[in-house]
Amino acid sequence: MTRALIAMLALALWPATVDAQESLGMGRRLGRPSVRAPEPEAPPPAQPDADRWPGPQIQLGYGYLKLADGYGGGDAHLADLSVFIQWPVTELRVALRGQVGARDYSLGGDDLLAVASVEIGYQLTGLLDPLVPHASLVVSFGGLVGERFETTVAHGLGGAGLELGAALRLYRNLHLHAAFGYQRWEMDGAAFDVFTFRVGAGL
Amino acid sequence: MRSTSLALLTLALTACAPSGDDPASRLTFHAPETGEYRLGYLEPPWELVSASGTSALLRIPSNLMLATGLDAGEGKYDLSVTVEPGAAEARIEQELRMAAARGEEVSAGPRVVSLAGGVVGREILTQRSDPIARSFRIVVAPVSGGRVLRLAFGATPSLDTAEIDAMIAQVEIGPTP
Repeated sequence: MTRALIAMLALALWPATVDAQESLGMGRRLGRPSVRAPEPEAPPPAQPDADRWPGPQIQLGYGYLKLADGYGGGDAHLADLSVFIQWPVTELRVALRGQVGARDYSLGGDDLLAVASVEIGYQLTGLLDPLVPHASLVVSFGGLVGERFETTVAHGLGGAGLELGAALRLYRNLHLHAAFGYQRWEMDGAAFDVFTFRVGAGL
Repeated sequence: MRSTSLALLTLALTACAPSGDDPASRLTFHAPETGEYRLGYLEPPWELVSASGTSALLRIPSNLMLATGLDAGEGKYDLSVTVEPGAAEARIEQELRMAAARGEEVSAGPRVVSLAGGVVGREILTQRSDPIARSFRIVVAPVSGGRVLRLAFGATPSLDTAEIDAMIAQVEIGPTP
């Protein structure tokens, strides 16, 4: 009788003992409780550059510059489109830019000003994220069409200079940008000190 | 490397050019050998047609001239420059009488006009309507030897404009009369 009670008590406690054991995972489910299932693979460590913004890819904005007309005028207001070429080295900044707008001429109506530029420079990606400052060399070519003495005249122009600016990333690639620059242009046999200002947004 | 070279070349070329802040930097100048005056004009659209002694004729061709290639008739703008004997005040009165004789209507003047270097001249603006509407602007300013510099503009558009004002304002008179 006593032996029967001990046996019944042992049978009653045995499942509780098993449940108290640590799970053996796949090994137990496969009928091999002594074999522990391999731990699931940990996700690969995050790459330091994975979240690094490579800089702007395209920008739309407004540009201002003063191309002096010799009579106190020459303010130019331009629509600005910049397309950036992406490189494995994100610090290398290469962009093609087109600007079109109106330039004030003191003695008559506004001129049409069109400028194409190539920008090559350095941008500091990552370190100040979400801010990406840059310093660039800018080479520009373009043309100006206007009315002089009721006659349409056109002049080519070109020059080069430097630009400093920064882009502030808002969300993913969406960013705001602003830049100041100085270029020395030649047009119609005269040289111009051209100070530029650009603001806008981009992706 | 190529871009840098191009930029440096561009900067080198522009470094030698006159400053665009000076309106004279884009002008072509004509002056007689005797130095009575020095006239700057924007070329294009102005072009020097002829020059002899102290006289010069400048023109902006009309659209008809440009289309047909004919060098005849009146240009869109004409400017005849001469040096003639007389005093500025008497000469402008004479110009008024001549304009009336041609049937032109005086639209402004006689009035004072400023040339380069603070030289003061006199001018009248007239216009005719027949056979083709045309405006005229005559400027006289004293030069040495009891003479006057006479600028006679004629144009299809109005001549009472800031561009013509600026063109007159940069005319330099030679030796002080």
